Amino acid sequence: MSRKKECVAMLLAGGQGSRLYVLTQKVAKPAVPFGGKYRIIDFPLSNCVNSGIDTVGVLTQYEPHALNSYLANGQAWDLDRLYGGVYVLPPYQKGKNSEWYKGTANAIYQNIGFIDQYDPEYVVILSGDHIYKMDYDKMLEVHKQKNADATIAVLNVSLEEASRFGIMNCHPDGTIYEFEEKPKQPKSTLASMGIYIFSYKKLRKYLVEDEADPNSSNDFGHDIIPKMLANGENMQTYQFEGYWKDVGTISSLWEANMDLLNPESGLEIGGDWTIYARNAGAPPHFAGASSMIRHSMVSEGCEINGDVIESVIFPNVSVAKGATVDHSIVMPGAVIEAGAVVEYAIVAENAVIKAGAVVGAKPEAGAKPEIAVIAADVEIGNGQVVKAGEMVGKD
Amino acid sequence: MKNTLGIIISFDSANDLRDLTLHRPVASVQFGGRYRAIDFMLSNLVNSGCTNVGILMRDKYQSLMDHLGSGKDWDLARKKGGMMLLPPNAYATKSSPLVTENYRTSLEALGSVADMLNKSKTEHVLICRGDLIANIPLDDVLAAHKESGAEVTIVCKEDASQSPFDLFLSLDPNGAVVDMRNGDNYGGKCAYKSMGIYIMKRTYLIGLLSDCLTHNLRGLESEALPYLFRENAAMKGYVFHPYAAKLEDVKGYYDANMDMLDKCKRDQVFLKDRPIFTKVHDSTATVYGENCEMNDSLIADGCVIKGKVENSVIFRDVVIEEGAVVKNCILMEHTRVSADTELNYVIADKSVTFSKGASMSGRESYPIVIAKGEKV
Repeated sequence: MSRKKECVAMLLAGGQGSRLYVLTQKVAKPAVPFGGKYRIIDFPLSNCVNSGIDTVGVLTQYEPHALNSYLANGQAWDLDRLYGGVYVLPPYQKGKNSEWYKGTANAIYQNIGFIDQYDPEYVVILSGDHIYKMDYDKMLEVHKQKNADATIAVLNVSLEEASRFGIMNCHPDGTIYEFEEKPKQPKSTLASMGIYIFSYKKLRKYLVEDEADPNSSNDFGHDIIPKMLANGENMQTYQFEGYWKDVGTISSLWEANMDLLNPESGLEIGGDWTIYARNAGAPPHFAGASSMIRHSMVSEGCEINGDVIESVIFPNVSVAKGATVDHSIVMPGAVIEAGAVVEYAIVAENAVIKAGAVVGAKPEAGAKPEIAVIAADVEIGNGQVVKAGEMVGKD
Repeated sequence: MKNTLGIIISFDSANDLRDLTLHRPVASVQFGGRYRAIDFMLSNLVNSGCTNVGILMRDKYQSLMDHLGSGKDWDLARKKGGMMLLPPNAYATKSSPLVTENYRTSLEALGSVADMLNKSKTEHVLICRGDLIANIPLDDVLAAHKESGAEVTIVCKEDASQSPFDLFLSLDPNGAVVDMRNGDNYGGKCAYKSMGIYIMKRTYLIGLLSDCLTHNLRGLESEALPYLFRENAAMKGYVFHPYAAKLEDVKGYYDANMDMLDKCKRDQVFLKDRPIFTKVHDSTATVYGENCEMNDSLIADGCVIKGKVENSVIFRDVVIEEGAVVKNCILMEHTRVSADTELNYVIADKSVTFSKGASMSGRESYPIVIAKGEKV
C-alpha cells in the first residue's frame, strides 16, 4: 500500500486577528464562532473534507487552546483517519535554533518535515479567516491541466474594492504576469483569496531559499509569490465564483453573519456541501409564548422568551421575556436578561447582559452601522449602557 | 461504574406505538426533537462511567443499528469494551445452550448471550430498557446497591397507578421490597412502580438465568423477579424522584413529548453536567422567516419556519411554509408542511409531506399518527 498522499492541505491558523479586538482576546481568529453553529475554521476544514483532502496540518501559534480542544482528533469533520487526518502544528523546539513562526511562509517552512512524511505532489495553502464554500479538487484539476507551479484562487471584485486586495494581473489564458499588493490604480479586478496550490517540489525549493534570505519577511504574498513570478515560473489563476468573505474585522464578521439571513447574499450553508462542526450536544431550542422571532437563525439549547429580530443566535443562549435582540450576533451560552436591549451588536460567548442594560444602537438612516462588541465572559450590569460601536473587554 | 456491564433491552412486546414502530424497535423511536429513545439510557450509562454496554435486539433493528453506528457519538467506540450489538442468534448453541432458538422475551434474550455474560470480567450487571426517558445517576444507584448488600436493586418511582405491563413494589422504610405484583395494582396496594432498571452481580444474573430458563420461567418482570421474591432474595428499591416516562403507547408517547415543553420537566431531563448524547446530523441553525409566530414549542436545528407553531415538538430539518399552522403536533425529521395547511394533534413520522391545504386534526386523547414517508 502506498504511503503517499497526492495532496496535503496546510491551514494557517496562527494569526491573532487583532482587528477583531476583544473577540480574539482569548482565542485565535479561526476559533471565533460564526453562523449560529460554527467556528470560522469549520469552513476551510469542511471544504477540505468535501474536496477529498484528508490530510490537513493546522498551524497554530496565538492562543491555541480553544482551537486545539475544538479540533481534537478531527472526528467532527470525519478527519480521524488511520493515515492522514487533522494535525495541529504549533512551533516546536529544534536542534540548534527554535523560533516562533515568523511569517506565513516560515510557518510552512518549519513544517517541511510534516509535509515530507506524506511525500505529496501538491500542497494547498489555506487561511483560517474566510467564509466560503469551495471545491479545492476543481482548482487542483486546473492546476494539473495547466501544468502549473502555483495556482492562486482569485475572485472578481469591483474596481473600487480592488485597491484593498492583492491583485493578480493576468494574460487572457489566466497566466499571472504581475502581482500588486493593494494597488492605488488597479489594472485588474482579480483579487487573491489567499488560497494557493503549489507543486510541492517547487514550493519546497522556494521555502528553503526564502528562509536563507535574511531580507525576506517570509510571507507568501510579499515574498514567495513575487519571487516565483520574477523567476518566470508557471503561475496560474483559478477564478472562483460564489460567496467569499474575509471576516477579519468586526464589521465584516457582523456582515457575513447577516448575509446568512439574506438568501440573495449567495451565502447558504445547507445543502450537499455540508459544513461540519463540533456539536454542542444541546436539546432543541425552546420558543416560548412571549417570544417573537423574525428573520433570524436560532440554534440548539436556546431558551427564547423575548424578541429576536434579524439576528443569529448560537447554542445555549437565553433571551428573557421582554428583552430585545435586533440585528445582532449572540454567541454560545450568552444570557440576555429581561428588558435588556441588544441592537447592532456582537455578544461573545457566555457574556451576560443584565436586566435593563442597553448594548449598541440602530444606525442613523443611511449610515453604516457601528457594531458594539461585548467580549466573552463579560457582564454588563443592570441598566448599563454600551454605546454603538463601543467595545467592552472586561466587566 | 467501570466494573459494570450495562445491558439495554431495545425491544418490548408490551409497547403499542402504532405506526411509529412499523419500521423500528421502540428503542429507536424519535423523542424530544432530536433524540431516539435509547439515547437516554445510553447517555445515563456513559455519564455514570459505564463503558461496557450491550444492546439486545430482536426484530426490525436496522434502524437502531443505523442510529448507533460504531457508538462514537456516545463515546462508546472503544478499544476495550465500548458498545456491543447483540442481535438474535449471536452465539453458538454450544456456548449459550440456555436459549437456542429465536427469542421473544427479555429474559430469553439475556439467556441467549450467556456466553458473553460468562466471559465478561465485570462485577455487576445493570439491565435496563431502551424506552425510558429520564436522566438517572446510575453511579448513585450502584453505590446504593453496594452499600445495601442486596442481591438485586430495582430503580422505581412513586406511582401506584394501574398499568397492564408494569411491576409494582411495596418498600419498607429501609427500602427493602416487601411486596411485588406484576401487571395489576388493584386498589393501589403497592406505592411504587419499577422503571425496569435492575442491578445485580453478574454471577448472580447467570445463576438466575439458569434457574429460570431451565424451569421454563421466561419473563423477566413477569416471572424471574416474582420468583426471586418468593425465594426471599434480598431486593431493594432505589426511588427515583425526578421526571421519568416510558414510551408504552401513543398517548403516553405524545404526553411525554409535550412534557418537554414544560421548562421544569425539561430541566430534569436535560442537565448541563450529564448531557444526553445522540447521533450528530450537522444541520444548520434553524431559519425563521418574516411572518412566523412561535408559541411554547421545541425546535431542533435545520428547520425552516415561516408559519405558525404552537405547543409542538419539531425535529431536525422540518419545513413549515408560510400560512401553515401547526398546533399540538410532533413533526419528525424532514416533515414538510405546505402553505396554508393546518395541523392539530398530529404525530408525523420521518419525511411526511403535507400538501397545500391538507389540513388534519386529531384529538388530545387520540393524536393521529402518520407513518414514515407518507404523502398527505
